[in-house]
Amino acid sequence: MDISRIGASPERAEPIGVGRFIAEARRYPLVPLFVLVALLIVPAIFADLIAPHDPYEVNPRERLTPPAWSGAQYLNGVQVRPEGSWKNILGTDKLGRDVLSRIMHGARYSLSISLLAILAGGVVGSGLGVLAGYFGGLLDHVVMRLVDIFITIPGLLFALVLAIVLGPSFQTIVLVVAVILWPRFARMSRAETLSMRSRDFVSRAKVSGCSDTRVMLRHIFPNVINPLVVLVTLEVGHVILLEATLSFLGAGIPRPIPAWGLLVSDGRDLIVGGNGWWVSLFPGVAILLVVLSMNLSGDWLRDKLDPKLRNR
Amino acid sequence: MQRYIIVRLFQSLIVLFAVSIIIFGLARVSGNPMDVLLPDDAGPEEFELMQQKWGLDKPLHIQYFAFLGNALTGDFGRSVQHPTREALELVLKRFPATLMLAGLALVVSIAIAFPVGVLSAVKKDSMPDYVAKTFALMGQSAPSFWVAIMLMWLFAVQLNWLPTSGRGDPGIDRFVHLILPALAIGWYQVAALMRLVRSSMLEVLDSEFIKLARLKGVSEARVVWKHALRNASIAPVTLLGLLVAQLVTGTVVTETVFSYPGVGLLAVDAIRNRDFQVMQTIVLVFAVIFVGINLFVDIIYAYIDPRIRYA
Repeated sequence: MDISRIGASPERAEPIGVGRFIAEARRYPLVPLFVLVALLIVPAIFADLIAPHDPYEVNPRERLTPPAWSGAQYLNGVQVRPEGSWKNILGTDKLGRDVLSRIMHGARYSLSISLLAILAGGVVGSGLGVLAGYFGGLLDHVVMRLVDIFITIPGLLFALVLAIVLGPSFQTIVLVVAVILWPRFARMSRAETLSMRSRDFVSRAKVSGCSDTRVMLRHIFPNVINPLVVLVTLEVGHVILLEATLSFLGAGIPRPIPAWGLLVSDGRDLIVGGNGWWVSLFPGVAILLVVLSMNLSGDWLRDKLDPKLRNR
Repeated sequence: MQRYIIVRLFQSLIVLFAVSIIIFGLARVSGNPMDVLLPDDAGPEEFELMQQKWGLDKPLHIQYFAFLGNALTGDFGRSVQHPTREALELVLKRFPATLMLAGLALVVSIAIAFPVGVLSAVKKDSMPDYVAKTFALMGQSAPSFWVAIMLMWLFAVQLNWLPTSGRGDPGIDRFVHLILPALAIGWYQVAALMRLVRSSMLEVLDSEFIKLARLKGVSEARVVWKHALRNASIAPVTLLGLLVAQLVTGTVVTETVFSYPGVGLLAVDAIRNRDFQVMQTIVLVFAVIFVGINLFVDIIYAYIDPRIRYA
């Protein structure tokens, strides 16, 4: 026996076939990605096809049906809650609308609002950040002071004021979330641009006659995009939570659209009254799982693309 | 130091100035400010009075100074919802309730997050560490309003230990009504704070001076709670400043769930009734407090760490 091998871990044979596939697959955050696809992306695209019921269909006779597996409830011999049925797997709300179908359709709003808001906030924020970092001087000063101002004020308050002025709607909430997001993108892209500006390849590009626009678009932007992509994935979770919170407070998507925050809000009074826990519970679980998976995937991508950010 | 304080004070004033411009601008860009500032059933004399007081027939910059002057003297106009009440009066009346809630939530979260974070770092990769890490991850992913509703469901409806809503009568009843809301707000804060305490403890525990302290024979408890924690608490203390912003969000959401009559609930009522006067008052009052706290934290911070003063 070779004495240098004592205490070392036994050598493993290179896995082949299925084993190799599993070993490869384990490098990716499979469970979170699966949850995201199953709970967010598929319902968002195919809600019309896979939802068992129309999310707006009011059905007074089946109001407050509990989830399929729960039994009837009696109080002093009088039935106060019917038995659950497989027709409405996750039960119905106080108007008899199917909870599962409403959650599926709600995924659409969560996904589209987050994507649009991040796109808007990301483009404006990183654009301003690159400009500020590249040109410096007064422009830099103005942009960074604006960033400071927007970061100091709690975003929710801004959102509530805007909701009053513009009235709650899809466009308002996208705008509100974008307004809250852009400073973070501006800050990060400015910092990255500053570190690029003095690099040799940038000055050489300038010497060779590239215009400022070309230097920014072709030479600087491709080099700052990695941390921005990571920021996007880390922010999606926040944005979904923010959207849900605003809708819950009545400052987001208006009723009767089944946004997730509204679904939880619908169940609040039922819980206080003690006659229906499922209306709030399931949409909340959907938000929790999606945000959790988003955060886990974001962490993974960050370690992959930009280990510098790990302690942020 | 003096110079630093003056510069920071000046910056704070600029932020407040900007907030006032934004609020003023929002009321004007939305079309006729009368639509936002007056209730739908306002009569012509009310209209006239409003026009004069806020200088609405004058150019915009004059209007802004009228607005600023009124705001500085504490006149934010009357509530649309309760036309007989001053907006500021409504907000200030609700303020103690919110302050109590936010204060308790902050105390609870510091009292939980620091010990648990330290323990989780010291016993890295043990069972308690996994539990704490899972809690932190879940805490930051769960929507706060949902956590609040679920807490209410479990402890108030199912177990019937605590009241579901309201503020209660003065005395011990007040405190009983505060427990669930404070926990609901604290949940998120604990998660965020604990994670940071854990990671900065891990970093410090790995450093040379800790090894030296151990070599010298300092007891393990003293190494952890004195030598390490002191040095590890710089980052978490910075986060506290940010957590105050989170507290504002937390109170708005939690007060809505528990029908707790604080400023947050007033804000949500203001949205429902499109009561701009009340909302702008809340935002400005919160902005002043918030900027004030940040200024305070920064000054304390510069006092502790001289590198910041001269940066």
